[in-house]
Amino acid sequence: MNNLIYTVIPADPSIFRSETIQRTDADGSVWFIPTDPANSDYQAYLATLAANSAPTAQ
Amino acid sequence: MSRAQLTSTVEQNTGGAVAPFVAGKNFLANGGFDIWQRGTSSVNPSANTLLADRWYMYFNAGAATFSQETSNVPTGYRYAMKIAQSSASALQLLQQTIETSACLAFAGQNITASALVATSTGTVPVTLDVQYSTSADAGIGGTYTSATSVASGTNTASTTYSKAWNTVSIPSTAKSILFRMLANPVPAGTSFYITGIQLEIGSVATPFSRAGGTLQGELALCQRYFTSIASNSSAVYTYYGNGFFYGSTGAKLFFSLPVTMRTNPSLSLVNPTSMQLQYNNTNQGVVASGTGLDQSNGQTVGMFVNVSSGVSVGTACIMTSNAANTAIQLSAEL
Repeated sequence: MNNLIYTVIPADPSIFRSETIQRTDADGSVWFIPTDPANSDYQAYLATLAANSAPTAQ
Repeated sequence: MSRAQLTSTVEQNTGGAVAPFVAGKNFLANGGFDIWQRGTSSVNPSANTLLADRWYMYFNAGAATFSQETSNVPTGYRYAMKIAQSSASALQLLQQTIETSACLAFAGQNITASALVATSTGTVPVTLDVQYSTSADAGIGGTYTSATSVASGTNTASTTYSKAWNTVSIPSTAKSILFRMLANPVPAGTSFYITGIQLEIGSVATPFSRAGGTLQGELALCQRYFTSIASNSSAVYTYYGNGFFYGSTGAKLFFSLPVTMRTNPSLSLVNPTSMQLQYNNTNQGVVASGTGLDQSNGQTVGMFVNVSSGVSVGTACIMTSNAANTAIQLSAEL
């Protein structure tokens, strides 16, 4: 999928909230993704992070 | 009733009659396109998005509309997938992944893919490709290798439905399966139709059977991967969950899922501004930004829901909608 925008929603212990990832799709729909390694949306998020942090050839 | 088949032409002659409709024979969910939780039409869908449950869509050129077909269907079926190619000649693709726990039985076996296919005009070559990965639960983004075909049919779609089939040999190291149906090329102005997709152990394409055995079983199977809790189509109040205000504009809610999902699901609200938090007979707050997922475990889901107006901390509330176009969607797709 293309044109995905990710936002990290940090944990907030004061209201017992865990960290989640917010993904906004090209069609405007918003998804909230748990930080579960078995969740394929989270896997895609991690893959995007890895791709964006990979060093580029000089 | 028919007898079990030992080969494509020889029926088993011992053990009595065997019904072809057997739950669990078909390893592909929603092969008869009974379940459409996301909707029934998608125009020019992005690559590897879903419409009919469990089926990833793709086309590589021009413009295409994927939709539920109810008229041009084979005898004995209610639905098919129609892919209308309105411009440019293109490859059309439907894909489904099978998780490791469900497909380990394929390892070292011959398995057969089959489907009923048709076109609106002319002929279109069809490929039923079965790929495997040696990684567990490789998913749609995994790396796969095509399994070797040991026998196949003619596999050309024409204006009357015919069965395409392909038998492949799966290596003993396989841990994940990706099934791919490729119609290529589909000329501009041609619609391609497909239903009755099946993947089974053995070298014979037997009559189609729902993976879940029954309509309810098929729905439950699909809900393992995606669940849509949608508002009443007649726009009568739908109740999504209940909870309490932990702050003056923030509430925590929870609801239970109809089926235990594959893993902790992602959550999306469809048209959240048409949802409300009702906290007494006369007052309610429209769902506002900041709403999102709290916790989920595949069986229950907790949400943070914000409203703009102030409410006393500790006040109980229920999440409702009086519109026909709202839904809470949960995805644990592979």
